[in-house]
Amino acid sequence: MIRRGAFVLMCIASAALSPRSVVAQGEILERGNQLYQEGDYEGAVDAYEIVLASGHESADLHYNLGNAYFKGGQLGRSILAWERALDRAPGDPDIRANLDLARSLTADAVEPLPRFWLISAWSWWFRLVPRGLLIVFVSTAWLAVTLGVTTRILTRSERSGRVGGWLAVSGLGVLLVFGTSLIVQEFRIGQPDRGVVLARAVSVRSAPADDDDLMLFEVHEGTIVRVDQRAGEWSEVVLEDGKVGWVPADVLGMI
Amino acid sequence: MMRSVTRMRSLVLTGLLAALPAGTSAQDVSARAFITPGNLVEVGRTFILNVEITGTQSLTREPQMPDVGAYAQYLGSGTQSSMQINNGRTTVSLTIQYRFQALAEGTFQIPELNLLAGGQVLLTKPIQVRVVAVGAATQSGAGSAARPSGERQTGEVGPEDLFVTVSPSKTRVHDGEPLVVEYRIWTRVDVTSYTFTSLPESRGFWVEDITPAGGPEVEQLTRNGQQYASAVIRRIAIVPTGSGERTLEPLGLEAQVRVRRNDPRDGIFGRSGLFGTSTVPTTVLSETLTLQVDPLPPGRPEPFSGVVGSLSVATSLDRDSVATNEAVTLTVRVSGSGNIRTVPAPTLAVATDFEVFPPEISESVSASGSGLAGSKTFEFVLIPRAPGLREIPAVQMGYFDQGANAYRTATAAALPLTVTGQAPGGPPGLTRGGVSQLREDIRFIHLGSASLRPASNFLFQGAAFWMFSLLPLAGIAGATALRRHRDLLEGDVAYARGRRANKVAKKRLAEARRLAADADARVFYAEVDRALRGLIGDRLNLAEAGLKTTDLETRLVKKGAASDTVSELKTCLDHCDRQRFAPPGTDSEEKARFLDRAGELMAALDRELK
Repeated sequence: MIRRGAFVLMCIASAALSPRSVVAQGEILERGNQLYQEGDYEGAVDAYEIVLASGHESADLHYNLGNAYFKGGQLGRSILAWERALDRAPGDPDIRANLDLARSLTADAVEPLPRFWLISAWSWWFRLVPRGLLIVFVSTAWLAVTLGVTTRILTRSERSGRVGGWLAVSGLGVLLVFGTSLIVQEFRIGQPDRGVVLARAVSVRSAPADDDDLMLFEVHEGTIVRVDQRAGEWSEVVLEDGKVGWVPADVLGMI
Repeated sequence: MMRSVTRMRSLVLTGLLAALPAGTSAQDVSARAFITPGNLVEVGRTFILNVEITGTQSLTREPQMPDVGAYAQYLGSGTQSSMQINNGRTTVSLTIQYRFQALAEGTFQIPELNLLAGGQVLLTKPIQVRVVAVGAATQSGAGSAARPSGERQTGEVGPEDLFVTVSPSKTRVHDGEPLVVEYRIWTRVDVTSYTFTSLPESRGFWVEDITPAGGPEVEQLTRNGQQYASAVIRRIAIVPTGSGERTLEPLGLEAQVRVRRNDPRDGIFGRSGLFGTSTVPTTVLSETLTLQVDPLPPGRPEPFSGVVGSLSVATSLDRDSVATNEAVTLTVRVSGSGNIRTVPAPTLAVATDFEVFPPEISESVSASGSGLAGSKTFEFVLIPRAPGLREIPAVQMGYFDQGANAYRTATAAALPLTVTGQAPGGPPGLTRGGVSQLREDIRFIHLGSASLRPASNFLFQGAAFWMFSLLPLAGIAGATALRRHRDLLEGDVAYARGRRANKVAKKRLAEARRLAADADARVFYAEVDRALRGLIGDRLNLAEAGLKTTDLETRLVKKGAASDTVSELKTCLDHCDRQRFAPPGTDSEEKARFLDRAGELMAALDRELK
């Protein structure tokens, strides 16, 4: 009876993890890669976008999409795709290299404001371990805690009881440390909404209104902004150097 | 010809006449232009364009200097003023003098000159000037015809009194073959000094001035039966660059000649003393030199140095052994006769793992006989990048030996060089360096599609997460229950007996079933009785031995057993008691029926005594 139940659960889990559509989308992705290699960058973009539209994604997919946009001359969209890829795989050196190259081609050289060291440390720590690894850590720690507790409950010998206790305590420590990271990452705590300017040049205004008198400055394609609030069709953006203004929401691609 | 003495004289006159009443102010102002010594000029001689303004001594605007083209060369200008008293009338005049040296034969016109003096605009008439070959003017006798009065002089310097000759060391040369040209001054008059007015242009030639330092050495020579003081005034080595007939432009010079003056008007000062002689500037022009330059024959060797003459090449290294990546100096010395200065740097055919720096070049060239000789040194700095026994290849240089009328090649032998040190990594013969970035591009896409997953994959959702979170907790709960059960078994006899009662009873019942096959019914019923009583005793934690049936009933009812079960138990126990003392021979069917009954009863007891 118990065995049958476990088998059914496993079937459900495997079905949830790799449904048939993933295989089909993987084929479209492969097709996109092939088009990219043949130099048909627009075709590659289409294939990648189809996969994204189907509700599937991966860091590599965003990365490849960024490459295809870049080769097709769409700097803003390539930066957007690469930023999304970096969000999903913060340690990937290829993504970082391409982003560095793309940023060097953008028109706006925005000097970032110095950040308070605690905030820098916060974001450094919580972005240090990629999500997949975090999940592995937290799961292992959770298993260790429960295993340690179970051992401690069941064992008669003092030695294995000590081992169980040690296992539970250390597992709990790891669970707390990485569990916090995982929760912060998963709920995007303290991470502002960021966007990339997709239009060639956008006038930034002091208020959400289409009035030329309100124009403050101009930002260009590929510049990354923080989006603080929205009002109808308008978004309030903050540049890395602290400049604030409103732009139409449709010129931004949200990371 | 300009005579500075004239100006001096007029100054003296002016000083003498300064006390005279200036009652001659209202004069007509006029201007005229004339050439001295005459309108017929020999090539190389000086002529003076005089512009004389009468009636005033002040000039508001000077005339513009006329353009005389290529016929003559402007040397300088001066002014002189004079005052004459004739019958109480004072005449003042001002003369501007432009000195020219005639250069080329031909006729040219000096246009009318426009000047402003005394408040009037004055115009002079145009003048025709003819430049003729040397000697032609004296033959025609027109030289003194236009000479104005009062300009006569006795110390006239003739063309045979002062001239410059040019003598090349040869007149037929090969292209690139140096020759020496000597300019010599011949004079029968007293030359105090000279300056060059025109030096030959070096068009088509490569010129090196090799005039000896110091003043010219004067020697007494005889030429055409005349005694001359003669000196080499300029010596050049020239190298024609290109074949064909080449001409070397003439050399012009202006000499200051001291002559005895013989002017009647100067009588009051006498002939001797300070004013007894005067210095006359005289210009002379040398002949034009024509050279025949032959091209070099075909078949020149490569690399060709361009030298016509002789050449030798020597190479040397500053040491025989050098460590890897350290510098060694290779000296290539090219020496010989000919135009050594233009020898190009030799091309070193060293291996590619030698780094060769551009050479440092030093040269020393001097005139030798009819040409040039000297040496040129190239110092190359070489840095070997790989160790081993290396060789600096032979250095070759082609030249043209005009004596043998053939090309030759000068060769310096190859030099061995031991390079010590560690071999750098990588294949030999390749210079190691950083990987140079040719252009920047993005990195390639990541191939493969293994990592695709649904986009809205929120971790804290879904069955898998909850299952994974809760299953271990369930495990802990199970472990706790297990532990509690085990503790009870160990520490609580009643609990342990109760937990084990079923097992013991079933064992006894099984034993009874085995005994049922036997003939002896008493043993069988005793066993069933034991099983029933034991079960109850274990469950109620009572001593089995002292269990009375009535006692059992009350306890069972207290423990919550149903009255049916209790009465059934009583029936069964009674039946057992009865059969134990009954005679043997009971059939086995009845035993089996009773076993079933006992089993059902035990199940009911087990159910009800929780």
